[in-house]
Amino acid sequence: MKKAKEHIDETILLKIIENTADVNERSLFKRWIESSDMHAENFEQLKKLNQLTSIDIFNKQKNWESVLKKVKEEKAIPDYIELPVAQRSTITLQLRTFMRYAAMLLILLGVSFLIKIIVFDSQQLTISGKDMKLHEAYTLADGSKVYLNGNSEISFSKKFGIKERKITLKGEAFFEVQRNEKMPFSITTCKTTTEVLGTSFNVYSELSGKVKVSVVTGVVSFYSGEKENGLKLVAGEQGSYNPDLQKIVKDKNVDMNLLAWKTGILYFNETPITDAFNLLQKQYSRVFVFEPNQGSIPLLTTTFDNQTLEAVLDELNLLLNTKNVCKNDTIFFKSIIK
Amino acid sequence: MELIKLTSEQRIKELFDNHFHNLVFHSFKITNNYCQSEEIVQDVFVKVWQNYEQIVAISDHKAYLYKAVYNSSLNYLRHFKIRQKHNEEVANTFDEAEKPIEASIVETENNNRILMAINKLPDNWKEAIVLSKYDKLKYHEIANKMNISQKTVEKYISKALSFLRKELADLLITIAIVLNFIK
Repeated sequence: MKKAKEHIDETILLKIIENTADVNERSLFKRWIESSDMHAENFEQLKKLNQLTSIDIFNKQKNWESVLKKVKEEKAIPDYIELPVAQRSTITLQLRTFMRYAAMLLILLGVSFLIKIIVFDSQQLTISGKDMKLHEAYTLADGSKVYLNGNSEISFSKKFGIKERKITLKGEAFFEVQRNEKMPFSITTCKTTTEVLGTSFNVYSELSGKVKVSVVTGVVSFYSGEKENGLKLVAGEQGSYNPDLQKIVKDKNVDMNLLAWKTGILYFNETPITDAFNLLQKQYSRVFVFEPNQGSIPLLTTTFDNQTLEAVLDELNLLLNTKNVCKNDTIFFKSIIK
Repeated sequence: MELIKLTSEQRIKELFDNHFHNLVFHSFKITNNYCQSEEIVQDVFVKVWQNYEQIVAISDHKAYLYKAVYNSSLNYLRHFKIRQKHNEEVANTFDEAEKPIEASIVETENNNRILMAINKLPDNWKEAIVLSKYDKLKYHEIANKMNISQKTVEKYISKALSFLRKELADLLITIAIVLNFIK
């Protein structure tokens, strides 16, 4: 028994209706239509449908003629006929879309930058000299010690010592750096960087940008910008950065008193009394004023090693032939020689 | 050599030729009354003609026309509903008007149903069958316009007819009976 063919391609049916089918398609169709009454019925319906849809429901030309007529006669158009508001040109639309995305990108960048600052900054630790006791060192994660003078500050990442040893310094500090060849220790002031492997040295920096580095032990690389352009300083040597000239030079005369704030030792060797008093002022937080009765300015030669103020005053009086009078924070030295 | 400059009439006619049937179908979705949809589309084109200067600047004419027809059709429905209510009240006070011939009601209803069924077709089938049945284009012309092969055109149309046959089966049976009866 022949199995009834359930399905035929619709295009074949269309071709049969339009009389464009070839011999093969005709035979396929014959088999299909004979296989079921349903098929025959469906095909009849399809033919009728084709007729129906071919009827000219609309007459495009007639419709156009109506349009022309209405325009000519200036016929009133019903209110419900509504034209859309003129669209913005697509160019502007593209620009607006672009600007929208650009704005979003900017906001995203801004926010991520803000987050970076907040998160990044909180990743930094800042130690101030105010937090420290006198002669007390702050010990870093790698064992290095830092002595801070007065209000000086150091800042470093919380990850200090793990991959890098970088410190930012504001003011003055004395460093005792643990040796680590694999991880250089660097101190950055505004414009300069001091890099060491393991040494002890002093960095003095001012707001003006002037920096002085004096080395006590070891070797220090002191540079501004590129390391190659810098100085190598050894024990006993001192380098200065002049912000006006933007140059680093090795100082001929090492200022022995540079470390006085830390060591407590002041050296005077034929130092004019005015200079000596400036240093004493800095050390003892008092204004020292010399009142001479003669024209010449005496020179001071002595060493004050962690001496109390009283001891210093006594020694000064002896050396200068003076008597001191204290008024508030000012000490006046009056000559007693007549 | 003379530069051929299209007049505003020619431009509008071009739009009309390209989009008329599709616009009627679009409107028909809302009105379910193809005679009314024809009127609406006509009126839209008249209004477009009257406002030609503004239309020229628009880049997407097709979208513009579709929107115009759609909104106008919605407005018509709203308007019509109000009027219908009014008419109902008015009709009750008058004698029954001359009854329209039943045949033409049936015809209109049949056409409406066919159009509704066509509106249900997927876009490409619909486009093909509208171009074939209403724009009276040959298959190769449709293939050109739609940028497809003629075989695909045949496929779309035959599939569309298949669908419509199922959709309008009850209608087709009735018509068969009527036609046979008339014979």
